Amino acid sequence: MNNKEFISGLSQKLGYSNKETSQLVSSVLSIMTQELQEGNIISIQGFGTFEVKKKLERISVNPATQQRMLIPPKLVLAYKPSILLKEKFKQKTLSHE
Amino acid sequence: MNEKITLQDIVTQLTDKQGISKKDAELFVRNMFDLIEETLGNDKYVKVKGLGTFRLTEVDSRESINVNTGERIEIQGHTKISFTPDNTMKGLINKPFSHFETIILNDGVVLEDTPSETFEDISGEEEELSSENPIEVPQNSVEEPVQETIETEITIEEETTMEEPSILPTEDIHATTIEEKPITDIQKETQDLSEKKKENPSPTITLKENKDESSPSLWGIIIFLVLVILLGAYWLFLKPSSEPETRKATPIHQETTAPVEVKIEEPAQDTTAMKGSPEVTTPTPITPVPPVQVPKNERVPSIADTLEYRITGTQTTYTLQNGETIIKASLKFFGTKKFWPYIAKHNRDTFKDADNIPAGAQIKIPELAPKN
Repeated sequence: MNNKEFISGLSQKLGYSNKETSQLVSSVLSIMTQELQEGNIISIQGFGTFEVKKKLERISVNPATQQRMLIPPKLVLAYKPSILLKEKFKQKTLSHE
Repeated sequence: MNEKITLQDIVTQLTDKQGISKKDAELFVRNMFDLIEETLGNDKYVKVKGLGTFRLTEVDSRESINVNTGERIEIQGHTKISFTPDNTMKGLINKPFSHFETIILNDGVVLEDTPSETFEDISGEEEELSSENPIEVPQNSVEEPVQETIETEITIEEETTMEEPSILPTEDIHATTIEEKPITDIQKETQDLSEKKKENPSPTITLKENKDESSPSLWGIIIFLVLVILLGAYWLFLKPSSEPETRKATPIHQETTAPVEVKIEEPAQDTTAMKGSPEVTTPTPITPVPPVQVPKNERVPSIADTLEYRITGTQTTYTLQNGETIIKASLKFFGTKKFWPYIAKHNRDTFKDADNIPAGAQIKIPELAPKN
């Protein structure tokens, strides 16, 4: 499901227009981004947590050329699904098989 | 920082921003995540623009070992949720570090593997340094008493000269000694020592000041230099010093420094003292000698400087190490650098040029006896 389908699915569910929904979604996401940039952890009950993690710099070697590269430190967004959600999808596949 | 933001916080912010009721906002946000969850179950794939992609990936079953019991267990295949932030999100999150770029390293560049290791190295170095500093301070203090003995020596000598009519009594004691007396070896030494003494504290002070700023390698070099200077001062003082000085100084050295070195030197200097002191002290009471000559005789550092020797035979042979000169060999076998011409003379048939003797060369060490 891509973004378009996601927006339309959400607007159908709530009775908003697509435009309103996309606007609301983007504002929610901008709030989330802002919080994450401040280093806060966003935890949504029953869904999971979003957290910014710091990756240290490292040296990587290109196996083909043996070229060594210093990869700079970076911040990445990590998502950890809640145990509830994790178990739900685990069970789903097991029952599926 | 590091606060935990819940759905409620997002809702309150959303109501402020969009001007919708709290109830609507909460319903919207809750539904948004619910829909992601729902569609994940159906489609195994949800892409939200500005956030990223949620995906269900299947994990194959694999074997593992129970850490507690050592039993082989099978972890069954399951699906897990993976999340990949989209590029705009990635960029926004990484904004504080975005100025960093991947650097291609050349072959010659040697880098510390990880930054954490370098931090450890630095801290370790710092600990070493801090432990080394206290060692240095006592070394300085060791030198100071020695220095004092030399100074007292001079003043004693001076008192003897003061008795002589030729010296002006009004002038400052220390000034007179330096100005009036001929520049003998001892005075050079004492000046050298005092210079070194002046030098020594200054590097240590700067070290303490720069402690946080300077790099560990620089530290090592500076400390090494200070040690070398200290050692040099020690050798300068001990080696060609006159008998009374060494007599007074040796007890101090025995207490503070390694006893082995002192013991080696003591016999040689004791014999010089035995020979030298009666000769020097006896003439003074009988005939009043002009002041210039008295200190000269008293300050003979060792018999090596005043007496002439003849070569009676070969004592031993010695292989020069890399970087060693016959001057060093002289210091090693005779206790003074000044005997190198004898070695040069003794080896003239094998090595014509005494200034250029290759490393690893076998040199003959002459046996010396006083000429008279």
